[in-house]
Amino acid sequence: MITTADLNEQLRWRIDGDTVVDAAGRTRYAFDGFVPEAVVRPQEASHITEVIAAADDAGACVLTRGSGSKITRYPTPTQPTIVLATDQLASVTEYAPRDMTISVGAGLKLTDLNDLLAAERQRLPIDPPLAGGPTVGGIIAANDAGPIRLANGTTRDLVIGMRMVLADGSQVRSGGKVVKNVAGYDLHKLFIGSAGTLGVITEVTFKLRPIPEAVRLVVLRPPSFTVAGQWVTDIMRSAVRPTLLDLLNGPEVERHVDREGAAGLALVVGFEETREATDWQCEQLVEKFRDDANAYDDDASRSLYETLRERPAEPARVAFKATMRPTHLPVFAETISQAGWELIARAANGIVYASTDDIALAEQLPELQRLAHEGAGGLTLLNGPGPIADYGWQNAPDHAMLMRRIKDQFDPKRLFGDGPFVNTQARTS
Amino acid sequence: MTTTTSTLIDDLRDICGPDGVLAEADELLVYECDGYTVEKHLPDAVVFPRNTEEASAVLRRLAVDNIPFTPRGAGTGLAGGCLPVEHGIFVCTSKMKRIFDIDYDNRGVHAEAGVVNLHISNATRPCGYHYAPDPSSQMACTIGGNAATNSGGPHTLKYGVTVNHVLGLTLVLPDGEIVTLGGKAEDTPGYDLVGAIVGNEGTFGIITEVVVRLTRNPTAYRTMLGVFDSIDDATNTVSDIIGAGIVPAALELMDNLIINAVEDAYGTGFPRDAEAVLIIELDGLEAGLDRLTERVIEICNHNYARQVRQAATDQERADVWKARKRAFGAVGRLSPSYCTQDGVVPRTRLPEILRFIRHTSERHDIRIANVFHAGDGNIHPLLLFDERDQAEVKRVLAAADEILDECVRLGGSVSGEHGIGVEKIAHLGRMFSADDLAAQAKLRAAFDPDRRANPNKMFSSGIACGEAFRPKKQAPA
Repeated sequence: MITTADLNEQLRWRIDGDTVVDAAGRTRYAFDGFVPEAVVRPQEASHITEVIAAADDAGACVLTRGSGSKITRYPTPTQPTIVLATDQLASVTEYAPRDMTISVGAGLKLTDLNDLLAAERQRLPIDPPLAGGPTVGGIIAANDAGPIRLANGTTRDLVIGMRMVLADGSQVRSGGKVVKNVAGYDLHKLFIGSAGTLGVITEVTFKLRPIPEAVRLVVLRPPSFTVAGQWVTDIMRSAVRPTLLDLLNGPEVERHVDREGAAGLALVVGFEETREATDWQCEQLVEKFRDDANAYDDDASRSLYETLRERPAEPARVAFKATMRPTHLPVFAETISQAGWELIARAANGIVYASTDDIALAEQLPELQRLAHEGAGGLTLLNGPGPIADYGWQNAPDHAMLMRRIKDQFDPKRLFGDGPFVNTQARTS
Repeated sequence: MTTTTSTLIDDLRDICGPDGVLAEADELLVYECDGYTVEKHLPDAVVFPRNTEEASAVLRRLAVDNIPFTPRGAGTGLAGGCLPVEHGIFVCTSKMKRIFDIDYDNRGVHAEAGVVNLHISNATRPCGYHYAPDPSSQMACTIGGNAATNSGGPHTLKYGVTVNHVLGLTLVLPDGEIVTLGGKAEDTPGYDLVGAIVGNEGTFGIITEVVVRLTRNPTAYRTMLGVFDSIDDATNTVSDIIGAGIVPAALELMDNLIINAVEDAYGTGFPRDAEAVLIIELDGLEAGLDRLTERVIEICNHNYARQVRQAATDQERADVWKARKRAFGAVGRLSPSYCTQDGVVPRTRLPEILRFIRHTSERHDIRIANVFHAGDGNIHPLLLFDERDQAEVKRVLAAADEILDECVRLGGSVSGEHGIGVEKIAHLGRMFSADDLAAQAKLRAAFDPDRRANPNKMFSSGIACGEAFRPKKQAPA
């Protein structure tokens, strides 16, 4: 097996400049106690092609890293690993405000992107937690999303083009820069949720939306999960068109929604539209729910929204995401709430983020996975003891089978490793 | 050489019932082409499975003899996606018409592939919902065909195209294996396979069932007709509206030729002397809509609109949309034949591409009519000709080719919604590098390693098409 020194020598020979990080610098890229054998910060796609060639020669794996905000979800590498840090692939290739599209390097941070767009009163309407400074490439690879997914969808609905480098070193492009395009397969869809296992995303083109004129939230206080579920159904079928519908349980409510006390449940309903439409919808809810409703003003709404969007990122010893039919959510949420988990749910999307610092609760995970499965969904462990990859894919055997076939086509040598999919991919026949 | 034997036909009848297979030449004639009538081939047989299991059994049987197949919905496609180029069997979803369930609380409809697009909206309208993607052929085209081609429509500007509305699907792989992906629960971990499968044009297998998203009906509409004396003014209006941060539900442009064809056919009341009209529709909640409408009218006037009319009643709104959706049908009055193109440019390049189309029309001495999804930058030039005039046919081909090349040059695409099929195989190679296409071939190989699912579509494989076609009149889109 190649030595670390030789591998770095190889890389320096292949790529000029200071893109190969020195030994001291490599420790900054350690995770789970693992220090990568090499770290490269490519400035262009051709550097990645060289890294891949070097990895292939050396029998090493390539692990793509954005800001590292989700790196603990990966299994700790067991073979020599070259970390490919995308932070120097952060330029804006093309921004056409009047076309409402933008092409950016995968290493661009979401906050930087949004600052740039705000100057034109536009935004990328994806709002995952900002903690850790996620990059657009990382958000896509993790298929991460936040509260306003209810109205705006997820990365799959907003990525219209992509450039990637594949395991054979080829630099390819998929989709384009126009909002409507059916020329060829949407190869870039594969890279959404791919966790770096199919190739390296180098550039992404998004469609954009205008920043809404007004954003307001109404906090409702349902007396039980069952009632909360009924309210969600009622609201979704009423005249209003919420852009977010988040359900929080006790500890969350105390911490964020009502600092004076009054533990219980909170159902936060958000509207983003013209001033008139936003205010009208808030009035509708206040009229319908009266004492159970509290309509926040603009400032309070903004502050609560920022809390909601950050929520799933707060560190906890055990954390998972569960998906299910939205109508199944009240039963699931009530079960985990009673068991002691803190939760925030995207109630109308059927998505629950739960966390706890009580490591003993991890024992419930298999049972909770079954419960999510009853609602036609599954459970993905975000942080916790044991192999994270044990969860998630058993509920989607056909999906896992096809993912393995695609992986075999794109990366037969497993150069990019198996990411969080390792067990499924090895297990499925 | 035909691929069928009497044993095979018997076996297929065993699976799909005695009336579930067509194999006689006269019965097959209506299947010789889809909405792309330029090239015609007879399939060797047409099979009508009644459900996913029968479709699976059919594909298992075809796999035994290594026979290629082409999935077919209603055959309304405009790019020749349903063409049995080198023989093979049509597997037709038209007997798979069940809507299994309409689940308002989870906003999903589970339906078989042969269900007609509009029937979903009709079934859910009483409860205030609809299925958003609305191709002009929505009265005939199937939801399975929509998923296979990632269909668009006028209202995709605000609501998105088919892929944004397909939550899950059942796909029968070419070897007969049934796979079920996604569904009413969002975010299946791992790759977005549903997203990658939508738009596969039948090359991954047969989509037999879908779960699609329902959308709440807007409670208020403002449908406007902006009348312009110059196409440039109309296209500038389009980018000014988008640039102002207003996302209309639809933003459609019709030029003078189309206006007159539509007037001849339906008498909607569009001004015949206008160079262009813009159909601008805002929708959503009543609150705030009047202010947005005023803003839109201001932008139209700023761009020298001669007049901005507003539909005062539901009937007037319906009339405007009827005229728009049937515009292709009205073109028959202008010319014995026409060839529809489907390119895309960034919205801000619309004035340029429209000017290019006008110059191309003059240069080649052919008439070109325009009716298209301006808000998306998705152009539909209709090149008019008489197929008896061979010289004119040649000029039409050259003009269409130049227009698509110009779309690519302006940073756009050779297809916004009609697909590649057989029509644009050559053009795909001008948009993508050999490496790009090799990567696409890898994806296809994961589903269809033997290339039996709708062969000779999308990607060139030695079969010459696209370059040597003779356009004729097409079915209404």
